[in-house]
Amino acid sequence: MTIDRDMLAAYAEGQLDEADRARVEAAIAADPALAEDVARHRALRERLQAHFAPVLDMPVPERLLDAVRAPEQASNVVELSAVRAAWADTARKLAFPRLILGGALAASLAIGLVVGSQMPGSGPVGSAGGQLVAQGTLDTALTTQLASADPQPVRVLLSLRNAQGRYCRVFQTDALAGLACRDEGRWKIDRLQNGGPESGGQYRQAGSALGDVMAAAQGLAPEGALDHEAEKAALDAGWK
Amino acid sequence: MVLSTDFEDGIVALLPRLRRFAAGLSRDLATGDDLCQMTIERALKARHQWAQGTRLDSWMYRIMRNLWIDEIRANKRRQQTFVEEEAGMAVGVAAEQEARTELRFVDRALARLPDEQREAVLLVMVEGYGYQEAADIIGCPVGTLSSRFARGRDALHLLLEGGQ
Repeated sequence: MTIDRDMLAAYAEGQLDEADRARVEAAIAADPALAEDVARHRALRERLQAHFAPVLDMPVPERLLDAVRAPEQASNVVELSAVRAAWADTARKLAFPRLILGGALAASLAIGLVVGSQMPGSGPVGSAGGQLVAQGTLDTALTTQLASADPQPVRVLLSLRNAQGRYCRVFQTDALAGLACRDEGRWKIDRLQNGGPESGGQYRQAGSALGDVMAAAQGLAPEGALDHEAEKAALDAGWK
Repeated sequence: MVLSTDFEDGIVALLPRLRRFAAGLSRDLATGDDLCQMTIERALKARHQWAQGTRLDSWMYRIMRNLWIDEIRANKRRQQTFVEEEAGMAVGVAAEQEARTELRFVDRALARLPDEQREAVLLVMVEGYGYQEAADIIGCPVGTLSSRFARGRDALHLLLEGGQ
């Protein structure tokens, strides 16, 4: 009898009943190519599992835990002050489409400060506990990316420890440069500069916005930025 | 203030796996986390639809998968750029170049699968669901699932072994 590919895949996944399994095993015994296929299947499974394993080991972002444990705060992001409500109103009037994509981060940044009270994940900066905090792609990048010059939607340029022993990180996107410090499980935005051609029509070189932020970072940590090992250790420890 | 319950505890315990599935579906960890957040919100709103004693994991996976299909994928298609495809999942942030190459390699191979084959491969090979469970999550007949899975697996064999 012939063993088709569906059946071979089902065999390798242990999805066949007793009779079919016996048939496939008989065919495998007679044809080394079929045994080879099963070995390839197992190798592929291991490779895919290894590929995704790092996600299981990463600390779960606070915003996801908040979304389960304290949905009122997470989805309503605290009582907004009048100022922040006004910002959100402005953002709504701009009527940008809702962008939830990492790759589209630069476009969503063009909105400016979208305070994500109505739609969690709708902008890079939200409000919690009366303070501006990173959310969405920015929060993820700050929590999971090591400093690197590689082009990415959010580039983390350096990390440091401030005088209070908190970790702070300088980041840059196509439209913003800023400094965020870890505070009670969130990235509190300490400094934020518009930069680049996307910032509301007023052109400003991203480089000069970054210069301001770098100067602020230097002021926080006169002894300099963390080296790669120290940064990696901090990331692995969840920036505590 | 909502007190912690079995339901919330169950979701929290599932979060690492939900993030993994979301990263696999969206091929991008940040987008995946947004998908996770939307899934949690949807699940909390629909909690009365979950029958206690049945599997919370498949229920959550089904919500996530449907959200991905309905709300995000259409958006992603519109926005997709060359850069985004190149960026891949950007998971591990591995220091070694070698590890990075492997990450990108697997990312790209997965990216080339049709969506219905990718979700079948992810559910069966990465998430470890049986055919019937995976078919229930997707909402398709088990025969359809098994054939999508076999085709996806064969395509991955070719893509990954051909490029090494």
